[in-house]
Amino acid sequence: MADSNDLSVKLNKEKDFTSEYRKSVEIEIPDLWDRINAGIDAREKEKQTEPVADIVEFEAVKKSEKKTADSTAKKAAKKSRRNPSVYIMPAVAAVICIGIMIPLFMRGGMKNPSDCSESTAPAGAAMPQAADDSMPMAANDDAGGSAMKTEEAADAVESLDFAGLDGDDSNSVDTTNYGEKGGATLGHRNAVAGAEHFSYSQDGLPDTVDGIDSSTVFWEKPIYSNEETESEDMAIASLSLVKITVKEGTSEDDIIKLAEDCPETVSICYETNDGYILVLDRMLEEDELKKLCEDLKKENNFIISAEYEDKEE
Amino acid sequence: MTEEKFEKCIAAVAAGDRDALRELYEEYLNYLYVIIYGVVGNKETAEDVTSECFIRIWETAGRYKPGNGHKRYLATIARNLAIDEIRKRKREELTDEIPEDSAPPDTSDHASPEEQTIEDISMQEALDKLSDKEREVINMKVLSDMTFKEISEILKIPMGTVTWRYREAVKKLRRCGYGGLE
Repeated sequence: MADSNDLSVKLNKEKDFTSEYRKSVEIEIPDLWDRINAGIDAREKEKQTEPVADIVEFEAVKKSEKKTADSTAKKAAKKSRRNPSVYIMPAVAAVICIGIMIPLFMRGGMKNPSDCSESTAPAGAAMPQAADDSMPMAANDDAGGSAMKTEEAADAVESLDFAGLDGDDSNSVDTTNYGEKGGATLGHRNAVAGAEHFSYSQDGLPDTVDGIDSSTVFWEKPIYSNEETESEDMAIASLSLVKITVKEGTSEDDIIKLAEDCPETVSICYETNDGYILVLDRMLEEDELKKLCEDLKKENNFIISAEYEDKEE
Repeated sequence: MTEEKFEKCIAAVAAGDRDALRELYEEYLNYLYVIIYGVVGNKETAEDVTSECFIRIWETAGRYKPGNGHKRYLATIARNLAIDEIRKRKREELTDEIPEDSAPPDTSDHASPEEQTIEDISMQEALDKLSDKEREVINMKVLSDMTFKEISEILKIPMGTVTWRYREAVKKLRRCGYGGLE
């Protein structure tokens, strides 16, 4: 390994992977404009054809009925003139319903701006979904059983509905678990991840609205952290890692204690499929890593194996 | 493209101006394609998703709210569509039984670095030395500029596994003469 690195230095040929890889991908990008245009045309056609079809059908029905319905239409017109309540009552009922529903929708939307789970649309599409989500709650909490009919009952429902949400701006299911964003005090666990707005889909992948603020769902938070790691990826990239596999039945508390008592300072500890990774707070030499792995195995009988990364330099 | 120019452009797109969309397309095709490719890892799928991305931009242009960075807005649409595609693909695909941490044997890795001179190893050869899972992580990290957390969420694997695979991939790439990843 040392030889290949000497060669690299001599030849000064270490290539920048990131920029080369990006360039190599970009070279292969075809012209997609025609496809995009066709896609937009297709979508617009879909939107346009449906209403036109309805109008055509309506016109046809109207014409065919006109011939046979003239006399009955006259009679109906006479009847309707005699009984205006036939038209008025449904209209009044509709107005009342709309007058109650719209304020409820608006209140529901304003109270829960981030309560949305539409996939693949950035912020701005939240309101209708939030309104939909709030409505069932309002109906279920209805004290009067017929809350929709009167404004007074609607107000009562609203107060019941939203009483528990005072001061709670986040609709995250797991806000309480994640705590505040940013650094953790020494030895404090589970506090590294930020508590932004989250929503979970059923399959666990992040729902992807509120995209501008990047709704990041934390699947796997570190089980231990003892320092602020704002640019966590950069930290990980430049520090030594030790991977441990442990016996079945080992508790998280054992791991946390191991991290706290470790001879080297552990920044973060992540769970893996078959063990844990300890991210140290500095880059160690190979012999130091080797000794650390041996010490960890000696002092913790639940550790089956402890590996370190080979240093290349 | 500056923020102001983008705002004018997107407003024109919202009003139905295809030339404005074309302008966005010329400016951001590469940017969005690379992000999408990094997630889906496949050329044909990336092309489909990229096309869909611009169609989505066309359809949702009216909902753009200035002030949060237009590149971020576009990247989010792209990334979300790519994630949806992966989600759909994972549902359709049969899962194999190979445990995640035991990558398929990579016999090319057994060749010692001394057996190949650095300048002989092309990008593709270097990438071929990575396992599929390592390449997946590298794509998402390097092309789509995702954090380890985001990668673990999308791939549904523990973050430690993501970290470990990334480091293994970086090691292998470094042996092939490629740096700039740390």
